Amino acid sequence: MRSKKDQMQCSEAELLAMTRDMDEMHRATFPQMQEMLADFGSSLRGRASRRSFLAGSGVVVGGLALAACGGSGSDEGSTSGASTSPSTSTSGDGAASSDRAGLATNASLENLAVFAYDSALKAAPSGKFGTVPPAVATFAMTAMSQHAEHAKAFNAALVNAGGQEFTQPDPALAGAITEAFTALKDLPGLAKLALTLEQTATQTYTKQMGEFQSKEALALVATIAPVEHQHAATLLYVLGEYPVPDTFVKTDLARPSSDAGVS
Amino acid sequence: MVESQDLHSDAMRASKEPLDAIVEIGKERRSAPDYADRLQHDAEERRQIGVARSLVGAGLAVGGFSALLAAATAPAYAAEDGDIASLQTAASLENLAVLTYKTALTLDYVKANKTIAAFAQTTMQQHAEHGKAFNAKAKELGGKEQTATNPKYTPVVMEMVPALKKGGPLDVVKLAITLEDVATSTYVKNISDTTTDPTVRFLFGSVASVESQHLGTLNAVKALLEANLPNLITVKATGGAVDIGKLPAAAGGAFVPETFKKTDLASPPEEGAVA
Repeated sequence: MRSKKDQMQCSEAELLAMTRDMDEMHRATFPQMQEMLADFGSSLRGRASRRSFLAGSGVVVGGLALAACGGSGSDEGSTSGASTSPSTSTSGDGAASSDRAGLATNASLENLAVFAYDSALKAAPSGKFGTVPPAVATFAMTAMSQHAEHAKAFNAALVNAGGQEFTQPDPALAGAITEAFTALKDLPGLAKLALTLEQTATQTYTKQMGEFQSKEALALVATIAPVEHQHAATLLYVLGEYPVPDTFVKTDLARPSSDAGVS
Repeated sequence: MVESQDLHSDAMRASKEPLDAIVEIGKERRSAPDYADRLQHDAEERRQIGVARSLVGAGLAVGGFSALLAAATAPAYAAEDGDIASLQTAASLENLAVLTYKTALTLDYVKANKTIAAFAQTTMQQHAEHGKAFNAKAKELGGKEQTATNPKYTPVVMEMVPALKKGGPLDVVKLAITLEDVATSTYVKNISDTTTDPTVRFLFGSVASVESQHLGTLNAVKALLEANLPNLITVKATGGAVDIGKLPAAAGGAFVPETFKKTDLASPPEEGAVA
């Protein structure tokens, strides 16, 4: 029987050192985002009426959510079915609303990624994935921490815009991802699952670049999508594949802004 | 070079579908009844910033309050001109990247490493496709194609060529890192600060993330070269999948040095514009 240290070839001291380095990195980059988000709040508040919406309560699990996985049809303005009021009262309000719906969905995708990497790091010492090399452990720690910062940034934008933080994983994907994670037996399987999450995030944010209205929401997805795509490149390399397989970002995995159920 | 040709063919197949999608989305958006209104609304928000930047760039800002005032009432097409300029500047960066990788492929030490050579070949072709896409969009919006290399960075690259010939892989990797970072930063900044047409923003987003993967890969290659582990620079197609158990711990974060993509190196929209 392999020991905990054998399964994860990375000492606690090394992990702590990595965490310290990441914290320093985040302190260096996060203030710029906070400053940008302060502007974002005033921009959206100027155009939209302040109203609360059901962040978090839109979580749907099970068959209904899984049925939504394949649908990417109408995104803007669609909700979980609770409201039938039109979302096109004014162009400004509609724009703010669609941006907020997309930002909530983005927070939910980041929460899902944090959940997946966190679960992987917690399960690794038990040998669920076989031996986890140090470079893979470093990557998982880095990616998880970066996704947590991305979630904070998307949620800060929501709060500044008069909404509420969305702290749940994507309700349309959470069930399927949990099921897939439970069935994992090795490191390549884990890397492929993580790759799907990274590609989904990149593609969602890229698609939103042609949809979002406010400068600040655009700046968020523009600065985060490339980082998710670098995560994907790392995972492809770990899987032995070429890290830059596509000349343009595809959008077949992009999630609709309605995923989080926020309008 | 068979492996790199395979990679190149894969990349070309992968590129066609999204590029077609971009063209289709553009057609749909322009045929929509509210296209002009949306364009004008977007332009309205950015016009003053764009005009002020143009005036500063042209040296007209000093004492130019009346000019600013007049420009602020200019029609919205001025903002679309910013889209064209930013697309032309982007094309100039892509053209320079193609020239740089083409030059790199003549260096013996690049040719000697199958994976690095395949990367240079594939990346060169991807940049050529990006340049075509930017030029196609610029023409679609009524502008000219930019077929020249970027005026700011071309002399920098040319001056480095003699040193690259005498140097090693790390030298050319560092140069490529700079160019990929400039391109990524420029397109990321354009998305929120310059462009008014949603299809232009989408195109910049679709390309920026690919450049960021070039950048991440080059950073990882640099880390492995500096650690004297060139044998770990390999993928299935060029000599076998990397033995991840042999990778140093730090390599796991080498692809992703920034939590949010910084834009300090972004080129201004007018840098490579065609009059």
